[in-house]
Amino acid sequence: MQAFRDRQAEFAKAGAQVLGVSVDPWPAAEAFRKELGCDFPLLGDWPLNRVGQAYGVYQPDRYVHRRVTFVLDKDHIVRAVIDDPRDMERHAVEALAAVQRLAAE
Amino acid sequence: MAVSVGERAPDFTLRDATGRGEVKLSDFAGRPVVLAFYALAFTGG
Repeated sequence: MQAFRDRQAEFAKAGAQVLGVSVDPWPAAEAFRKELGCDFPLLGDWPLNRVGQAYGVYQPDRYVHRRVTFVLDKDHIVRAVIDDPRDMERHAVEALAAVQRLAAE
Repeated sequence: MAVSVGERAPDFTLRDATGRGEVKLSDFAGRPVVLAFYALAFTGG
């Protein structure tokens, strides 16, 4: 989530709300948010991983979510999906470009 | 299968940072949202 933190001012400027979701219990997610200095919430999808399952990103064989970023427009229609298991920088760069395009619509 | 482009994002409710309140996707109605799934806290995610 470091790559999102590094661009949090730009996401805010584009009017977008960033939400991070992991399988962590909420205290761990919140401690991680504080350590990183994120001004957006990191939410714990614990203990049932329901959100990850609803979005189709939970990996039952690994007990964690896949690294997938969804960009939702103001009506919460999915407008972009970034699915890359390695390059989190790419997630933040492409998501920011997508919300900037939405802001220009 | 992951939710794909053009679909409505499923609403959800999760515990907030205090552990006492809730955060819902619908709290951000009218605003674009970037929903970033990652593996675990305190990892490179």
